[in-house]
Amino acid sequence: MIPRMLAATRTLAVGGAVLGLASSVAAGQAPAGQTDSEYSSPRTPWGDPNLEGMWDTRTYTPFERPTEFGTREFMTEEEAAERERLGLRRLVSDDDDDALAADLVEQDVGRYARSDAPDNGRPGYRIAGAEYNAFWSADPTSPAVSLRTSQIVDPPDGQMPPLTRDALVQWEAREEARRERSQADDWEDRGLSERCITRNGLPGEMLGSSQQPLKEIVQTPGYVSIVMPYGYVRIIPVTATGEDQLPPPGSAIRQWNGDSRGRWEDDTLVVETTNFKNTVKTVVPAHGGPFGGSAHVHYYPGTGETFRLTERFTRINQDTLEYRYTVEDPAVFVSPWSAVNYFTLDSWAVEGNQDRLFEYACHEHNYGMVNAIRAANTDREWALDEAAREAGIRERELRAKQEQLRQWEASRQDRR
Amino acid sequence: MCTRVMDKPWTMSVRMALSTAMATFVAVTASPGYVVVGEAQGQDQAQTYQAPRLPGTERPDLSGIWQAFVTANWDLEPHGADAGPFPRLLGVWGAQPPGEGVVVGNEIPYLPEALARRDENRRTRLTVDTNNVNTVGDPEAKCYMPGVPRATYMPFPFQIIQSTEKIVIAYQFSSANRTIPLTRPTEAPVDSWMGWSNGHWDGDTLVVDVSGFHDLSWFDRAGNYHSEALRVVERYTPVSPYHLIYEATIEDPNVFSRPWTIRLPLYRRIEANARLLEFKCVDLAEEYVYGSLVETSNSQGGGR
Amino acid sequence: MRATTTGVIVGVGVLLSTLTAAPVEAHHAFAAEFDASSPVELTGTVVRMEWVNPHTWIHIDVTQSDGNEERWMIEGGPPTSLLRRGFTRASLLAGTEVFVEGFRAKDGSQRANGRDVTFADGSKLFLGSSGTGAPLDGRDAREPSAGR
Repeated sequence: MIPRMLAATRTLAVGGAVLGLASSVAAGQAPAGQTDSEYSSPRTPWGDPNLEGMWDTRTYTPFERPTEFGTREFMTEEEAAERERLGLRRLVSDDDDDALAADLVEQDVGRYARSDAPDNGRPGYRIAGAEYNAFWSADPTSPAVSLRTSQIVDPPDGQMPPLTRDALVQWEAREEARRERSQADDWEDRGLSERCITRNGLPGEMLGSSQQPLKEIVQTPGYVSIVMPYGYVRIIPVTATGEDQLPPPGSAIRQWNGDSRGRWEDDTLVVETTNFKNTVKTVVPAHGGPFGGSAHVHYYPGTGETFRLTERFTRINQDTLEYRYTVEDPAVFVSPWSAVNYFTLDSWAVEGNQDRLFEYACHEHNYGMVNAIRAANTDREWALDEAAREAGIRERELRAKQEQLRQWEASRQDRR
Repeated sequence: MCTRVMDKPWTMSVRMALSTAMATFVAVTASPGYVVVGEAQGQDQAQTYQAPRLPGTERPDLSGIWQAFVTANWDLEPHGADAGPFPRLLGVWGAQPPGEGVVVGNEIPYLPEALARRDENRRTRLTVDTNNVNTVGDPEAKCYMPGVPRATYMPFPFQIIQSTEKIVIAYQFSSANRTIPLTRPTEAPVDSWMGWSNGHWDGDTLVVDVSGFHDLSWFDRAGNYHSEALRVVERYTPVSPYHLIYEATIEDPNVFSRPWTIRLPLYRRIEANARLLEFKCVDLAEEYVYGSLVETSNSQGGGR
Repeated sequence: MRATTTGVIVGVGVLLSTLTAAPVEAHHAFAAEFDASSPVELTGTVVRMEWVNPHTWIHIDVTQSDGNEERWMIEGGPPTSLLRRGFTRASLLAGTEVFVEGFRAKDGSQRANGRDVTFADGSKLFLGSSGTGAPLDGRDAREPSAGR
């Protein structure tokens, strides 16, 4: 185990002590993830805080807080080490290429062995999680380790607030509308990511993955741009606080990634995004909304019209950007909620191995969509069965969300 | 000055003649020099304009929202007005407007054996084959990325975001974009639709060397095309606060007998609320691309 | 029914598994395109590889027992990690022989998921340094390569 942690530390050498696990964080220093109050962001030549760089946006931190942590935002280093020992935090890459090879062969064998168990007698899901060799996902670097117990920091229990009754009704209506449809009668039965429209939307796509770990920030006077790995650039016009900000576009203009406007608050870039679009007519199986394919919501149970996203980007040390966001959508969530993530400068790019993000050509080669529709044409009963299976998973989640709302409403009643 | 003159009760025609003369006078004397696109001396005169520098650099700041106003996306070569596809359904909405073309010398120098493919492309430009989804028909109609230089002269704006060591160009059409490092040039590891760009400066001209293309994109709706050997060298030259002159030299020994160049102005979008709006057209193209696979379509597509 | 996948298991040590960063990205599209009750084993030569997203596609020519050649499209994983590690279009040249174990497209076409893709000797593609049998695979992934 020790070599693995040392390797992680070595990879994180540029990550700085703030986030490092086997680091020199001394007792008495600020808990990992907080700003060193002595640090102030470097400036661009035109005087704006400099947030530029190729940022690794992956994390090990779970989205919602494991209940054992209660309202604690940070775990101790000992707790983090224990989680690693238990295999609750798992690493794939190592910068020793031969060890990488051996590990990946082991991984494949292990994954295939685990996947050979039947799953409800449906052979299609026996191999879920082991569809491809591990080498496809083996990045040359590891994400930084944060001592945060969850990404969500508000509400204080680190859990996403319940969905509103309206949102649940809308979810149920969409499930009803899907009842006669197979998993691929036409393209609208596939998720937005499989249609190559968005991947997870915002804010979900601001988090990296093994498939797409990076984002690049490039600035110019009056703008901050974020080159996104899923084939587009977020362009944020930025003004100093108090000056004229570009007004949002008219309400008839609705965009998958909304419309963003930014301002500087000291060293922090504050971005407000509105005018989101959601014209998905039927339930989508996965990757359908701004929550990154979380286990809780496969798609956005709202229209996007009342969704406001506020993001805060602050460089907290040379190699780390704190990314904090708040989701407000009174039509969907009973209260706003906020999360924090850390982006670290990609050491691989800093070393000169990658000077730009690679193109994401998805729609242009969407053979998968052709395959899926043809498959459903070939055997519609099978396609209906698969759709029913996925609907069953969503049904369980919907019931859980309905129960969550009932409990929340009951607890508010009790307090009166 | 103009206002006082316009206060007089001139007749409309005299007024217009005068305002044109005044505008020309202002342009000739007050501006850094007018530019005649396509003439060599125009370039020299254009060099007298000194664009503001990007702070922290000695380089002109080309940042902004720009757009071409040519009909090159229909046809790079000179073309007359013509019926478009499905005139019965689309009327003049779909008609081809006339244009003088943007090719220096007017003609694209195809190798004789390569020309037939261009004509075949044009004939099948609105054909969809789901077994060859990206090798048959105009990729624009499917909302595929337009490639370079087509992205520059599509009838949509794009934005240049210039920093000290990198430039990002984001195109409204299908959210296509590319990153252009200005420091050490690197090689494309694999082919892509928008190519692999390396940038450097030649005086106040941004030069972008682009290679590593697929052979899947077209130059226009007329079927002009290229192979994987395509190399494009672009030049962006500021000639006024509101204009860039764009040149692209296209080299592809598999298709053309020699390199050839296109040249056109780019205009700054000066509206106070100018912004790049989203044109993620995939959901507008799905019925077109996949519709033949679906026996009874539930979508709302069709002529509207 | 599925043949064993293992090439070589080397060393002991901690079993690493694929990075699980929340949120988990499940691969739902597999169930929509491929038929896990139709496993295939194909030996073929590479024609070309499409380094596209979210899945790469490897085109191979498979010689049947009757001598006919069939063109198959094999779906691989995403290309980003490989590109970061320094693999390029030259890393899997046309003419290279590969062995594919996977599952056939549900519509019966000559397309398959490439669950396990190896060279003829059983060693995995895109792993390690030279010695895995692939031409021009001698890249040390850590080395800033010339021209990049």
